[in-house]
Parts: sequence; structure tokens; C-alpha cells
Amino acid sequence: MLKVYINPETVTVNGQMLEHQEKGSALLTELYRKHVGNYPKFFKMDTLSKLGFVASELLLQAEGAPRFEPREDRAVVFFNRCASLQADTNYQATIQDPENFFPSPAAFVYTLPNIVTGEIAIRNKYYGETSFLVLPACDMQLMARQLQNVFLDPMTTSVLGGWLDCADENHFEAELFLFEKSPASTNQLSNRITEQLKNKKMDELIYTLKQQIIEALNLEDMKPEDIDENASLFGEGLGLDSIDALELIVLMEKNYGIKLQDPSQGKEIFKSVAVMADYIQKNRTK
Amino acid sequence: MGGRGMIVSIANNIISPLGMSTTENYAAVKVGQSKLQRYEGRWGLPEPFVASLIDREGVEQAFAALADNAKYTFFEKMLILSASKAIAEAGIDTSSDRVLFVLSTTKGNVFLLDKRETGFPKERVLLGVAARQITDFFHNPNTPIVISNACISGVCAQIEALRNLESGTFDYVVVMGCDVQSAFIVSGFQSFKALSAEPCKPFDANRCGLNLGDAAATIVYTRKETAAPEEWVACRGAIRNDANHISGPSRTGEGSYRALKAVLGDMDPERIAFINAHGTATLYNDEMESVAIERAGLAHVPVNGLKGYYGHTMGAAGVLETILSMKAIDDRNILATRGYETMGVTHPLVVSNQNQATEKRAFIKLLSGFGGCNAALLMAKGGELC
Repeated sequence: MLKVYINPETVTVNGQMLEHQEKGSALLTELYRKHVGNYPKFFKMDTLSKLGFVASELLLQAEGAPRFEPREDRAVVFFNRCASLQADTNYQATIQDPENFFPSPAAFVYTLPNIVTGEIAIRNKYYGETSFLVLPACDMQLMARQLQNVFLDPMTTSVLGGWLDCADENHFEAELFLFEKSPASTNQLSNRITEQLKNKKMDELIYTLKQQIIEALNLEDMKPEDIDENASLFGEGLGLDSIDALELIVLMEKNYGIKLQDPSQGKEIFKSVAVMADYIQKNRTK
Repeated sequence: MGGRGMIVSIANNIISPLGMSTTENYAAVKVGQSKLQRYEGRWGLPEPFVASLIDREGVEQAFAALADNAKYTFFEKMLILSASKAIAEAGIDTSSDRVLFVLSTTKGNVFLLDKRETGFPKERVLLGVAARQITDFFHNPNTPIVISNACISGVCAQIEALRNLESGTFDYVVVMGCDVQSAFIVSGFQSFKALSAEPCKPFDANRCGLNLGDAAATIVYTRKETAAPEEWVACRGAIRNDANHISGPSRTGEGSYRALKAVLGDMDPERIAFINAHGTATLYNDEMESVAIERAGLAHVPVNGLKGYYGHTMGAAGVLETILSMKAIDDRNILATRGYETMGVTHPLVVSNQNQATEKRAFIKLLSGFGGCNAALLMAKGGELC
């Protein structure tokens, strides 16, 4: 299984960082010029299509197989949250003002998220399945299940697919995979899901912990969003004192069944919310 | 389908300008009714257009029996109304985690992007967030899946249902399709010069574009070991791309041809009552379909199209047209293609121009859309043909 990840600041191909100077949509153009080129249609695309196009090119270059030979056995299946929101917003701008009402066909054509699947099919002469699914939020487990289901079409032997989301030209994320119909690919996809679920669980724990700290220490007017989980809890960060530290020891026992025998342990554990959460994750009894 | 059992349609509904139930809709279509009419100045649009728009007050009156009108957008109300009727008919408990909702739509609540619209949180413009309104209404715990594959979404959503039932992940899938018209959509199609100034004429020599329409439609699918002779089975579906152009149909009908071949398999075309085509009545779409149907060796199979009754209902089309095709075969009928008079495609098809009797028990639903996508679905009554 091959993987490409792109957000406005980072690009990785199979886990290896790809060097670049630009950010946001300019990054996509930079990637196009450096790694693709000679495909002027790129410049007509909306950001979602540019993102999918560049990410798929990087994936297919990593695959290293002969390109541009017509085939029907490879599906292109993407998922996201925003559908074609950026293109929708751009098109709406051309009709918003009745005094300046000039609906743009070039903008309208991109107001369908699946256009990017067509762009990739055209580029690569893929006659196979192309599909776009929209979810309320990124859900790797659901996505992996649906991607495996694509192989229920007996024609399909490989899938270029994954998460492809774009809210606007500075907010986008692609995590695309290229995988064959094989148990090994299934395993790799499910490993990726486990990793994401672990991260998600950690994020939830950090949020809950922040709420509990605010409540236990009467940090009125503070919201979980105000606390940086990596900032130090004592001194310059949140500015907690030694009585607060005792309160945190109570919190750990009450909510997570963790008994800290030695208060000096607290120094390490209460370094930041993130460190606390990590300790809780590993040692909790409830 | 082997040991996987059969995917059976157990209930359905259509909400459209022609009625609030499948029965009403089928009866209206059978006698040739349509609510396609000319609108001038609607939604402040400078150009007039012909469309099949639903009476919004009528929908709100019906919705009042279900929930507070102020809480849901018109798009969401259409979906909830249609789904409630189908779910009641199916008699399933939607709060079970064995029930999945799949929504087919292209533009959902897109009207919320208009700065003058302030009644709802802007987040509802996101298709998944809108879908959540529906699953929350039905107390369903699963993440809803939205298929947004342009005009083929309604068939793709049914294929998604088939796969999720075949793989055993769910016991029931509620497939809903809906789009409601707005200044956004109508002006976009106008900018494409794709709209006809009169009721559309699918496959006709004088066809000059499509009409748009409001509708919501729902089918509830489940998996059974075997199907009864009177039950409808979704045999198989396929999605294929033209790999040709993002908005123009392929001259060789590439994707539609390949999708037709895939669903036909080794089935004898003689068993097929009709192909219910996309038939938007644009010059290029209907021509492309004729090429694809001929290439697939199906030129002698009757073809019909339903856009002359409803206009193009976008995300609803694949679901709505599948339901009416099932109803037609239940009635031993091949529906007429409203608006069609004279053969207007270069690869002649047997376009059904009036209701005609049939004893055959299978049909193919065909769709194509922007992004070069095409989809076909083979439906058979009783399932022995699958």
C-alpha cells in the first residue's frame, strides 16, 4: 500500500517528507511544477481538484508502474467533509449581487465534488469506477470499510482512494492510498485506522482532562480551548501552585483510579496536560 | 450472488410535484401528467425557466404532523417526509445500529450560501451535517454516508446499499435521494446553456435541453436468503468513467457502455423489459446513450426516459426512476417517454412513446453525469434472473 499526505504545510510520500517552499494553494502549484508539469488543464482546476490531481500524481509516481495505458480495473474513490464548498462559494459570489449577476459556467462545473475523480480518470485513462462520498467528519474506520467494499465489483483490482477535503485555498487535507485487492492491503489500512482511533481517543482524553482541571481548580472563565495541552501547568504556563498540585492528585485518583504515593512523582506527571493524559492512558484503572 | 443472499427492496416512497406517495406518482405518470411549467422572476432570476417545482406550502403542511417546520430546511423536510413513509411501510426500527442511511444529493442545502439566508446555521450547507439532521430525526446511531457523484448519485447510493448489505455490515439500508431547486442550481444550468425553454423532449429530433425538478425518493433495502416471486431484487450495479471530459459526454459512450456490459454479465438481453435511460434531453447526453446502448448490443431493447414528467431531479433521479420502473413492471407496463415524438439520435433506439404491455420482469436503470461518470443497475423481480 502506498500513501501520500498533503496539507497546506506538509507533504509526505510513504512517510518521507517532500521538500517545498510554498504554503496553501501555492504549494500545490509548486508541487505541480516540480513533479508533474506539461498538463495545462491543472491551472483551470479548483483547489479540491488540484489537491487530488497532485496527490494522485505523487502516488502513481511512487508506484512506478507504466502510466497512461487505458484500464478499467482501477477505481478512484474519495471521501471528504466539505464536498465542493470552495467551488460553491466561488460560484455563489458570481450570482450574489443582482446588479452584477454573471453566473460563471467555469465556476459552476466544479460545484460537484466528483469532478476531481473525473480529472484523474481523464489524466490516467481510467475507465473504472469513480465515486465521491461525503461524511459528517473524517472517520477512517468507515472509510476503510467502504474502500474494501469497492472490491465487490469483480472488475476492480486496485483502488486509488482516501480522504480529500478542501474548505478553501488555505485549508485542505489529502490522505490518499493506492492499494491492491489483497489481505496485506487490508491489514495496512486497518493499522492506519487503529492509529487514528488511538489519536482520536487521546484528543478526547485531553479535552475531558482540561474540563476536569478547570472544575477541580475553579479556573473560572477558562474554557478547555484556552489551555494549551503542551504548556507547563505550573510557573509560567497556567500558574498553578502546590495546593493545586494536591488537588490534581485527588483528581487522578477520583477520575482515573491512579494513586500517586510519592508527591514528587507529580513534578514529572503534571508537566503539561499532554503529559498527564499520556500517563493516565498508560496507568488508569478506571 | 451465490451464498450472499439477495438484496431485496422492501419499501419505497416518492415525494414530488405529482404526489406524496409512490402510488400517486405512478398513477400520474401512467396517464401522462407533469408539473413542468414556465417560471418568470422566480428567486429573482433574470431569465425565465421551465421546471417541475413542488408546492412548498403543501410540503410544510404535511411536515407539521412530523416535527417543527422551523427546525428543518426545505431540503431536510422533503427527505424526512419521504423516508418516514418508506420506513413506516418497511416497519423497521431505525434506532438499531444494524440500519444504515445513505443519502444521494448533489447540492443539499446549497441555498444557505446566499448571504440573504439567515434562518439556519451555515454549517448545514455541509452535506454530512444535513444528513445528520435526518439520522438524528430517526434516532439512528450510525454515521450517514452521502453520495455526491453528480447526476448518477441515486444509482451509486443503491450500489452502496447493496455492498453494505452483501458484506453483512448492516441488515437494512435506507437509500434516500433528494435535491431541491434554487437560484444557485438554475442559474448554473442556465450559464451552461443546458436548459430547454419548453418541456423537455428526451431522444427527440427537436430536443433542446433539460428541465430541472424538485423531488425526494426513498427505497429501503434488506438482505434475504431468497426472494419471493413478487419481491424486487437489486442484482448488481456498476459505475464506470468516460475518461474523456469533465462536463461533455463521451462520443463513444465509453462509461455507459462499460457500465451496461458489467451489469448485463451473461444475462440474455431478451429477458429485459426496458432500459430506463438517463434521457435528460440535452443533445449530447441522449446521443451518447444511444451509442452506449447500441455498443452493448441492446439496441432492440425498449428504452424510456422519465425526465418529461419530472424534469431532472438530480440526486433524487436514480432513486425515483428506479421506483417508478419497478412499479411499471408490477403493472406489466413499459412507461411512455413523455415529450418524445421523432427519433432524434443517430443510433436508433426503440424509444417507448406510449405505455405498452410487457410480461418481462427485469430492467436496467442507466445514468450519466458530470465528471464523466456513468452508472447502471440491474433490477429483477423474483431474483431468479440475477
